[in-house]
Amino acid sequence: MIEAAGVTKKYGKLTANDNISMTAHPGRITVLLGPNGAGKSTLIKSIVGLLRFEGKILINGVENKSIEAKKQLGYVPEMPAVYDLLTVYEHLEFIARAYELDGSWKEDAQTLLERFELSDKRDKLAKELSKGMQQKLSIACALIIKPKAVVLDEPLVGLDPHAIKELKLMMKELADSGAAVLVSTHMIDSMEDNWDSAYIMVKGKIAASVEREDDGHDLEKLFFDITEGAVG
Amino acid sequence: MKAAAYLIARSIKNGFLETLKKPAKLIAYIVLIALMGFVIFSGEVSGDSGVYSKRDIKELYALISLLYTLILLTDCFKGVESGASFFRMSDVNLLFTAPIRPLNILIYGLIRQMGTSIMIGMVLIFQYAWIHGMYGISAFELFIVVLGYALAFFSAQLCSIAIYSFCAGNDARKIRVKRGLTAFTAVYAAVIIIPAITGGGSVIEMVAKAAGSPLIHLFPISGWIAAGVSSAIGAPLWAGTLGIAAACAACVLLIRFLSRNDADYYEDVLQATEVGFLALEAQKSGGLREAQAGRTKVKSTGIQKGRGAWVFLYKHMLEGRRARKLLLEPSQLIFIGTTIIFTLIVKDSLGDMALLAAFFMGTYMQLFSSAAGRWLKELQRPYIYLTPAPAFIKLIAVCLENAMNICVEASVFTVLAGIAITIDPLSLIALFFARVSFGILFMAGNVLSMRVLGSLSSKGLLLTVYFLVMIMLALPGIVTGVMISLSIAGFALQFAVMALWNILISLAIMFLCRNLLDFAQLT
Repeated sequence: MIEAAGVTKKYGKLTANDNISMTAHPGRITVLLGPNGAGKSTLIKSIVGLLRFEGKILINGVENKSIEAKKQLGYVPEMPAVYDLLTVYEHLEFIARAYELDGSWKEDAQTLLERFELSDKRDKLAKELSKGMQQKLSIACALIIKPKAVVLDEPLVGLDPHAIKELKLMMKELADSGAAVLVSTHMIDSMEDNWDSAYIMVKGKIAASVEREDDGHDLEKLFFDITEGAVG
Repeated sequence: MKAAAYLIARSIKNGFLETLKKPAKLIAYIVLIALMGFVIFSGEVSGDSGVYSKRDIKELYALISLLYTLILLTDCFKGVESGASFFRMSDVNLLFTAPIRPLNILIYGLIRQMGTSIMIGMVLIFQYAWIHGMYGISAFELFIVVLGYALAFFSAQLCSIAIYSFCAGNDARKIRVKRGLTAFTAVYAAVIIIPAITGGGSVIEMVAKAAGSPLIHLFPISGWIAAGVSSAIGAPLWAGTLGIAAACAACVLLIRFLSRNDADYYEDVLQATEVGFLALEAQKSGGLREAQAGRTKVKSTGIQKGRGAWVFLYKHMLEGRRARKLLLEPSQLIFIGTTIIFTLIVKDSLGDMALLAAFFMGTYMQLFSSAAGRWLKELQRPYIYLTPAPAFIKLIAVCLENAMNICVEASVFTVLAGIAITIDPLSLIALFFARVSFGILFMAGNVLSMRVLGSLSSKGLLLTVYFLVMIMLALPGIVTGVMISLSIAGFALQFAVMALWNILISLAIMFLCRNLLDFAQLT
């Protein structure tokens, strides 16, 4: 579970996140939507522990900046940034060491490389990969730790159709295995079949939150209604 | 810590294997090492042959002190707004979010940064010839200076991050720290300048005495490191040992400060890391970004003037006003300052030739500063190619702001050179035009390089061709000017001939390459 309670983040006079409270429940895919500049990335960076903020963020009941929380949290950044001088496989090995995974990580690594069609690239230096492949590697690094909570920031950008299909399947599998999945995205239609809860942010605040179980929610329509100033 | 150690070990190993797989890169490294060896060897030979006149070692202490302090103060001021970073974006995404103690990550960053600092300091090795010739220090002693430079660079980065961490989100603190740094700079400058003005003897001697004095060595961090390095090349050893120990203790305190609340420094390095990452990504994709951290003040809006191709001129002028606080870029001021200091040092020993030495030193530095410019960034964007105007006019319009900047820079250089050396008015005017002409020539050379090689992906090769082209283009004018000066006394005619040649060849190149903008140079 990812819980944010009263999270406020200011940059000088600009309030990027204003008293935000939201929860990504285990076993569910939670989508974070909002126009550009709504504060989604700031919230995500606060959740994964990169920023100072007021309020509280818990990962499965533990403070998000603690070592315990980080062991359970996977993060896929918006822009993939890989180590130029590590190979694809060495990235996964590095993560395995950093997270002190047991020996089974090698099998998991092989599975991930196959699913993302990176097997033939395993000994290539990351700087030689295309942007899309670097994105896939970034995702693999987040998933190899078998996280109990995953935060994905615009994960579908730059992926080919096969990878998009695999990633959506993996998000479903993660949720089914009990992980809390939080996805920030602009590609509403690509998540239309894949969400359980949604939060819509506007100008640093949560403007709306919906559950899929509620009848008649067209996510795209709701997004435009909220962000274009219609019924909230 | 094991994961971080793995990261460092693998990166070194793969970097080494990479170099072996790429012959061009391997050759470049071998050439660089050979060049360093050659510089040291030739430095020993020329230094002992009497080509350089021996000078007081106190000048070297002063130069060391000033260099280290310049590095420290520059980064400290930068730290108030934007900080610095030891880390890369990959560290932010993969290390910061990993279950590794932030202090361990900080240590990893510091180790990497120390390595980078030493690599950067190695540039000083190329100065061995004149340093050995003038001040008699050995290669080993220069290496000590390099290590001191690395420590100064490292401490400066640490200070920058610590200041940013202290000031982040607190405007009152930022103002106090800025005032403190300004006061520190003023006191430092006063300690050097006042004795130079009030004391007897030559200005250089008095400045050197003051800048290398025990009082300056008391100044925090940079002064202490300078004391340490100076002691290794002749000054009292006890002062040096104390200085290095104090500098190291200061670094430890800064590290303690940064790691005081565990994860707190992550945000402090994030902005600088993101800016650096975006600049690097833009470079990789062939573009140059105006990647600068901190806020840009927007005083008035609207380009106001310019239609068709000429709007690019006014747009560049507006961007230039917003991008820099002073008349010139800091790098230009540093290059000019370095040239003038060099001139002041050699003017007694070189006599009349000091002007020529200063001019060519300045032109050499101008070669590097002209390799970047707003007009080059414009060529990486589609708008110049899409604008419906004749290609030659577009080329002129896009280069004009840079040309104006060259004139301003030449004015500053000429005035300062005139103060440093006594020059007749005619030579001064000719010097101004010669400097402007070289700036225009380097710009034309850039255009020619791009036209000939197109959107080359290898920036290294492009830069190499650029330098070769520059030398080939400038040589006829320089040779003609020198030959004329051998028969006719004075420099005015020599500079005038060089200026005329440069302008003519530049205009010819610009006209011949006028269709550069018919095809996008975007990669």
